[in-house]
Amino acid sequence: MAKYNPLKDYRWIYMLLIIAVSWPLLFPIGLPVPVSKSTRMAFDTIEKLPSGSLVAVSSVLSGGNWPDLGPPEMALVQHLFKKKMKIVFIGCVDETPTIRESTLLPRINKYDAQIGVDYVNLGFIAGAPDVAEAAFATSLRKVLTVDFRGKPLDELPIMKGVNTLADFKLVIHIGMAEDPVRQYYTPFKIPLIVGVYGMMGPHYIPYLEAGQLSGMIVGLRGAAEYEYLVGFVGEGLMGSDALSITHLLVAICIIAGNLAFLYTTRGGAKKEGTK
Amino acid sequence: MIDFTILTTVFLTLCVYTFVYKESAFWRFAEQTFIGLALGYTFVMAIQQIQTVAWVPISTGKNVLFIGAMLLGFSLYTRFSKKHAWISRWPMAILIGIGTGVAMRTVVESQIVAQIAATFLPLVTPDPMKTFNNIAIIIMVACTLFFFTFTRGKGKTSGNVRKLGRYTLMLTFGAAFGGTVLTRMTLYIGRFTYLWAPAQRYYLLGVGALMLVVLAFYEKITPLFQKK
Repeated sequence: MAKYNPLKDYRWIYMLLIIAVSWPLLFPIGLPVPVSKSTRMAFDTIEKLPSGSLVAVSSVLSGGNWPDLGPPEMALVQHLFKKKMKIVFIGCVDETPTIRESTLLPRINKYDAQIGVDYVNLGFIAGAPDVAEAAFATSLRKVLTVDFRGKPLDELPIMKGVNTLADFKLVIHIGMAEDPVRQYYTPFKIPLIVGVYGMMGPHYIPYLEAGQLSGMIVGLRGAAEYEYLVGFVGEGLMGSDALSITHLLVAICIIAGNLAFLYTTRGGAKKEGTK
Repeated sequence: MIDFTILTTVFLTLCVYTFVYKESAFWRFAEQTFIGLALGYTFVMAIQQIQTVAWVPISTGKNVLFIGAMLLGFSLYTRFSKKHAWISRWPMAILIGIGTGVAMRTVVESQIVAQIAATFLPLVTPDPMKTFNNIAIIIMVACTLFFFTFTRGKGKTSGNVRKLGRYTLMLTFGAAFGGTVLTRMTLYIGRFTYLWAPAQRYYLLGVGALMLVVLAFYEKITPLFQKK
């Protein structure tokens, strides 16, 4: 049995990461948050909309992805309420309506928004994201007859005259970007803003450059930028220091790992040469 | 007054994080609790969905055609009988057909035509940075597409073009890796931000200390249970 070498224990990296994440959260540094082009585009798109515009917010929020997708949705929704927009929430997975009711909507009490008049949570539509989004976009009255609290859609003032996605001025989708581009933007040509996972940001830049997206918030980092623009401190700005420090640590680990690899392989080659 | 919601949340979160040190009974407890809860939640939401979307319109006579959809749904369960398993292939075929059809209907326009059109960029613009970006995009897109041309010659030029395409792909993968790290760290940051909020902080310290003590003696406690 190989002898235990504490220096080769990968858990040291976990320990370092825990310290790197926790330290800035306990003692904030206040590193600058430069606003990216995609976040600025999203902010400007909402700013240009007149107050009272009808906006659809669809998402795949769940407990597991809340830390990455929750802050972008929270930041965008805060901005929408601040601008007195009318918001229709729809979920594409079964956890979304519950997590919105328990975590997101209680935080917007300060805006005095009235349920059924200023916003409504329509629950979720079953099916893979594409099918659910297509159903919501083209025939929402057929797949939804009541909202998440069981109130008939015909009795909700906000839903008066709303039949398809064409009745909305803006769509926001939190999750991935391919399926809303396919189901929301391409058939209806309605401005589309997406909030995406941090890991998917680079993949969706072509959609932004092609003009298919009117803005994109990339994970927690994007949420921090958006919170800065809207002017409130949420989970994004609270976590941005930790995110920067952690990335720095990961970059150092990668460089150190590569140097060690080069050192060992060259050392190995030399040894073989001497033999 | 103890808030049991916070206590449960803090305890289960810490249970999951014990896996970072070592697999433990805490981790297995959290894992199995999560599976059970997720299954129960999904079941309830599915029943609710069937009730509001299908059962109410059928029972009120608004749309009796949904009976066909419900029958197709139920026939998925025939796969549990060897004799009748073939029936479940029909609803499955319809599900796959509709899913693929809906997803594919705008693929050509949104993910092929629009993306190709977006690479037709001006090579000279008033902004030098934009000019550089446009030229880089055109060259790198062309080289990457060429990389995937498998019926190719062995010329030096084509080799260099493919090499540039490969470097472009590697740059993309690097950006994707950076983003993946960002997301993974975000998950921990989100949890820690929640745990360290004033309402949860003391629960974290109390429950955390207790769990550390238990984990420290875990290897001594486990054999005692095994003897029983």
